Amino acid sequence: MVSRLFKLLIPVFLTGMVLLNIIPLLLLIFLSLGSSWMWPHLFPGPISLSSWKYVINPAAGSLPALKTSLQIALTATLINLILAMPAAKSLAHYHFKGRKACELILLLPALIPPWAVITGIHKTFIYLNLTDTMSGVILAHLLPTLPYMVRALTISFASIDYSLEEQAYLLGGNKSQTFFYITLPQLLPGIAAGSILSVLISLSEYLTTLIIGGGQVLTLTLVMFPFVNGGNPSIGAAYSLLFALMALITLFSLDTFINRYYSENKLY
Amino acid sequence: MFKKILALFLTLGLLTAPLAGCRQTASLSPDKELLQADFSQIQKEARGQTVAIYMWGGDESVNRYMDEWVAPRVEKELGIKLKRVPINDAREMINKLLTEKEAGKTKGSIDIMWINGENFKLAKDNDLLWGPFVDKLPNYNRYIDGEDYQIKYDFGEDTEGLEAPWGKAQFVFIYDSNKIASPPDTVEALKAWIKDNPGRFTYPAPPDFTGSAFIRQILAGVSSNYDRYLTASLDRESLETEITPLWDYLNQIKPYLWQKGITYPENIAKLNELYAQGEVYMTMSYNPNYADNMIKQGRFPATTRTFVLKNGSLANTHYLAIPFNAPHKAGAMAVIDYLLSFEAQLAKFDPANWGDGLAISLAKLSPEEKEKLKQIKPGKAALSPEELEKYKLPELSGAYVDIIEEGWFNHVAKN
Amino acid sequence: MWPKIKPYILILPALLTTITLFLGGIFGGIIRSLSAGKPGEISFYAYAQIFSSQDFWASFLFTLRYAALSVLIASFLGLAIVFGLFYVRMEINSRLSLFLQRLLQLPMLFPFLVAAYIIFILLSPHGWLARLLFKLNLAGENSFPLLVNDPFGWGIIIAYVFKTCPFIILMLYPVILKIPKAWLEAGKVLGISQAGFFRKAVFPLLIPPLKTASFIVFAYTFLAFEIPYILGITYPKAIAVYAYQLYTSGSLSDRPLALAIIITSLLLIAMISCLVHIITRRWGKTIKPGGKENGFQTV
Repeated sequence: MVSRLFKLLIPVFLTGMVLLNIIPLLLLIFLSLGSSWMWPHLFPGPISLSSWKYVINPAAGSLPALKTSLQIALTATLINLILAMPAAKSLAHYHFKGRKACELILLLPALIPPWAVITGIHKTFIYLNLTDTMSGVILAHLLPTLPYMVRALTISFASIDYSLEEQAYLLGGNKSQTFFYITLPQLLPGIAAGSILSVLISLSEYLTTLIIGGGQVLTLTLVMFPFVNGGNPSIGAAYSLLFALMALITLFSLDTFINRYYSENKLY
Repeated sequence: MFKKILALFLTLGLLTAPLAGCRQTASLSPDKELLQADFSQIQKEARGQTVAIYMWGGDESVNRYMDEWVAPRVEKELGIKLKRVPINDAREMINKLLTEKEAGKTKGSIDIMWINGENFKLAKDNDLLWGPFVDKLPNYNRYIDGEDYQIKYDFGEDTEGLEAPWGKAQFVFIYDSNKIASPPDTVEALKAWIKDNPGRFTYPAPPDFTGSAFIRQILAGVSSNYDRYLTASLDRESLETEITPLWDYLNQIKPYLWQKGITYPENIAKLNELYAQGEVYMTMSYNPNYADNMIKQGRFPATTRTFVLKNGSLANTHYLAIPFNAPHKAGAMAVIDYLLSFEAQLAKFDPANWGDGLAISLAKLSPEEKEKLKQIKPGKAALSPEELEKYKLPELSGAYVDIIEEGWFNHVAKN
Repeated sequence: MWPKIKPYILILPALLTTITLFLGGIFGGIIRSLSAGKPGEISFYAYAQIFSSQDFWASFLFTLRYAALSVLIASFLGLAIVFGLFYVRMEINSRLSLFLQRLLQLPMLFPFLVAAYIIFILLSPHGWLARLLFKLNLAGENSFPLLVNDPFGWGIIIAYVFKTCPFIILMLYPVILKIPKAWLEAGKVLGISQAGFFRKAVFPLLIPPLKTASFIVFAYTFLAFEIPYILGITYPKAIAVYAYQLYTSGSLSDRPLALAIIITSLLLIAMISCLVHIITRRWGKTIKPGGKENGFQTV
């Protein structure tokens, strides 16, 4: 009896949850397509593309902002990969003194919104001429993203099957060949997970970009803020969708790229 | 291992600390030479520069005027690329400059900033401004009446040529004539109206610019001797005590505000949205033509109109200034000069673009220019220039603005 | 020698970056928070100001309440959803389960400020839900409760649940993937229901990643800015909004105060988290997870 009730309830519950995730998306789409949304209409008035036109309009600067957002997110992710790869290998494979402490330090920044920490080194950034520059913003974005990359890669390294590497050596493969053909493909799921989180977090960052970028480095999040915080609601909706679309396309291409690499280099 | 980390971290701290010292050397002469140079020389130097103008970015029509009207013309006529950097609040610029000044950064990123009032006072008091430069601008000398009180004094603070007037604004209330037949015309009548229509009025919480202005607008109405506040002579405590009638007024209307005054919209855009949705029946603006702009965009009902209080309606001038560490001072001067030209002022005045008041003096215009100006008619929601002029009141001292905002928090918001 | 220092060399670049940015930031913050007095002197003035300020404590309690409530709600909801996904995987179709999991991850595509915006257009007094209820004659024009910019912080809580629940699912779902169907079959033979199986065998495996996830969410939520900025109330302000407004007040003398608020909050979060950790230490100790690592696993 109880399990039959369960059988009925679970799909209902899950459907409800999925709907709660989808309804806002649909609402944003409707809202972005109207010009006014007067009480008590459920949907905005006459369908119009004016908000999209405003968002796409070169003067509004959304497209350069989109480019800046992506540049920052992808560069930060690449740097994260380079930094995290050896660190994760070290954490996963070696038992050394202070390993726990190192891991703790590496993961700690994930706990605190980066702006709260950045305020403390804001002045150092100014001395080093890093404020108002994209490099400064990228550097600041490493703070919240690196822990996720380290974590994802550590898990991947921990689950590597080393017998394969040994076999490769025995068959005469050199170090780099072994890495690219044996180790890397096994790491790819971790690389994908780490990169996706890193890209998403960097794209979403607002206050850190504002503090370090000083308004000169305009990402999409910065450009959309005034509209989301009380401005024209349909422009706000259009920006929100543009952001989601950007994130989705980036993640999808990242996924495809990594998967293709994965299948091309699959040796076993 | 932990010791090693600690050691490393200390070394890093030591490495970055001395940098503070060695960066303080300021670059000197070129800026001073600029103030002596001939304007054609300045324009020549400005050609090819990219000038960053930092300004509040929350108004679509202002942004459009800058991006679509000014920027292409400046590029074509002066060879300067104008980069508009939108910000949420003018205070952000002051902060940025303060931090840069503290860190000894002599080459900043702001070339022009749009400021007035308490932010100008902060900038002036902290030596964040470059100049005086306004008398170097040909258009300033030609069109601006520098001795006019409303131009020379920004919220009671002497501008000393550190900022050039760009436009004038006046505080108006906006209402829906479909819902309110005859709007209140005094602060007392406004209070009565709010009490009769519970939940239909609110104002943005300071430090929002318009919300802060609303509070000063009420102060002008409830105080018997408003002129007393034009110059700063009282300290914080005496001012806060003296303006008790203001706190009383705001506390008396509080239970009748939108959401019973539990919360306030935190910016003017949110209040405008509440008005657009019909949740409240009034909003307000420091731009007399704002209602028309919104009607045109289809966001406010077509029956929207504006009114002012007979107790007086606050008016201010907004300005353009050049920070001490602006990287392109010549370009900044050339752009500001252009923005003071008759054409640029006329286009800005046109409600089709922005609808902002003129900074240039009517008396200094040629007959043809006056004729052109007459062609531009205010929108149907706006009041006539005569009506606005009749109740015009100057803003009180910039030094008081922050005190009143903080006082509002302690005496009104917290209750 | 080389094998001995190799792990240190490998970890050094990442460690240096983190130490410079993170510990450097905290260290710098502490120094600046102590610089309220004469130049070059250590002064606890900022801390004295904060501890005696009614505004700070009002903000702190407000923030603590919404952070704790949103993490509790998001954890329970996440757990329930993971149970549902587990059921679908075991009983219906593992591909469907994966697909649903992906759909439930949708809010991760939006930044915090869009999450706040979505909650605003859904739940404001004239928002979509209010309109729906009005059309259905279930609510009058002004009878919809105040759910955004409200004194309790409901809007903030709902926005955080919306945004962080997918993260909790992301951390828990990999555990589900590791459980072989054979286990369930074995359980069936022994006469254990799915719910019983979930409670006895799966739930203990979920506890450690759930604790990690909720700890991250709680600590992060406490100082995050965007959502309380958009959905918060005029007084008291969330800690992050309060500190940021002081940091950018235009007066340099307010900066030590802002940094003291941040540092104090960090210490208090650490204390609260330790306390919660000690109290809940007994949980999830019954069975150790199969693999030693959990969470952040790709799916």
